[in-house]
Amino acid sequence: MPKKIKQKKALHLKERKTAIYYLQGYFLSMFIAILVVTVGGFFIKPPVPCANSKTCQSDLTQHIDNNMLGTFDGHTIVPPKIDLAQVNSGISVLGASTSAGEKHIYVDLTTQRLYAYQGANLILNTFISSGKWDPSPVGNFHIWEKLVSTRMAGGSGADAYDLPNVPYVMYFYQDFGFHGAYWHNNFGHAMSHGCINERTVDAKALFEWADGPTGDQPGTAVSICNSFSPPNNCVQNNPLSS
Amino acid sequence: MILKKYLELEVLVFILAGALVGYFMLAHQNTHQQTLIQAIQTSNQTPIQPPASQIVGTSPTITPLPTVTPTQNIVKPAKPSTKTPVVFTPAISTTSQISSDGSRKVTVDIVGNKDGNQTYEVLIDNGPIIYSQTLPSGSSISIPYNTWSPNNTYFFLQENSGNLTQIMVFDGSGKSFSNGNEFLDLTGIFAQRVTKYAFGQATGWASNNLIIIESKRSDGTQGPSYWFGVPGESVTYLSTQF
Repeated sequence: MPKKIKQKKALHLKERKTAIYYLQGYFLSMFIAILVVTVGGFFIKPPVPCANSKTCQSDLTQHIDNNMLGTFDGHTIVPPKIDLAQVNSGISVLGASTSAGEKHIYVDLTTQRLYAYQGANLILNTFISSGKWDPSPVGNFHIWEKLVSTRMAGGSGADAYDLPNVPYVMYFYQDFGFHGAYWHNNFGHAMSHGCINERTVDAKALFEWADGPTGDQPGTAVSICNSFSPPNNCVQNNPLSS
Repeated sequence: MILKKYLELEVLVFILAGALVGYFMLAHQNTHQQTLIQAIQTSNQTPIQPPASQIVGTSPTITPLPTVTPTQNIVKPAKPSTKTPVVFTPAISTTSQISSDGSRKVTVDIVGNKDGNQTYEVLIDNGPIIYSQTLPSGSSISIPYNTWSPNNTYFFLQENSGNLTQIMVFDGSGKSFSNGNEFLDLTGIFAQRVTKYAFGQATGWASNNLIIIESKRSDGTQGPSYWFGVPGESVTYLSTQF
């Protein structure tokens, strides 16, 4: 009889201990989780994002490949041929008759529109295609490189793309930039891997108007906005550089 | 002894669970906070404040881009005469849209008829009329912004009659398709092939021969997207919503 009572008590104690034990275990798990997040944050850094995951790792220089075929969305593309002699005309059609002033390009990601200002004058207002597969970076930047043409490649599997002769490229943040897009015509809708796609005519006009960095002077200012109201009300959620 | 072993095993499970939760939290945090780390990496890029010249009360003037062809309205009003009987002079207005590279142009001339109807005449590159249709008042034919295929081989027009929309796809050469039709009736073919969703809109071209279609559900919300293949008249369901 005493043995049975002893067994019952032991069982009851085990149940009590188990409940407390699980509670302790829960807190232990949480503690470990917080520890991993805190300590891991120091050692595990997120990869630097790229608009074009392949070419941003190799180089971001001028490339003209007039005999190469392109690939986009599983389709073979014949890129337009680029004649440097024709491209470097040096004539800017935008803002030729307007007064001087600071140049600023705004992109409204909500309406998929681009606004280019020189001082208070609106020089260009047109549709663009921003990031669909990867987001376009929101923030305030300057154009750091202008290339008449380059090759852009990235993605994987069915989304892999390799596009030579991408025209009128102006990088403003890492390999994110403005450029003409000859492989689609769906402007006004997100369609890129993070860059700002323009119609080739618009890309050419903007390229000839905007400035790259010279000496100590930064290139033309660029603001990528979640929404934009003319002339300068740029709303940015979690911008990169502010 | 067995209980002790169990407890030790449970402690191990708790630690592992905590570590796993921590790892996933860290991964999630890294994904969503990439932007913040990027900001540190690009600390050499100084934030841009809108120039003072733009913070003025004057509204900006718009300098039209020469390469972009806006809608032009050339109205030739009827001239009533007191001497002779009134001769009806049809009013003509013109809309046009260039291709992405600016090399092609489609024009629609709208001619007002005596009976109140309007005749829409479609021309390519200022050539002869390739298509003509007379519509009653309240109906119209418009040229979408993304009308031309990226390689300028095809273009599409939109006919609006009340709430009904018809998309007509033309060969850019001005010739009929191989089946003898002047144009492909995209909306008609879509309605035959897709019964679950209604046609929403044709936004533009995903590639040289694929038009992007947004469908809509019966409650008016956006349904899945489709590709319409030209000239094969294929309708392809897309897992990605455009």
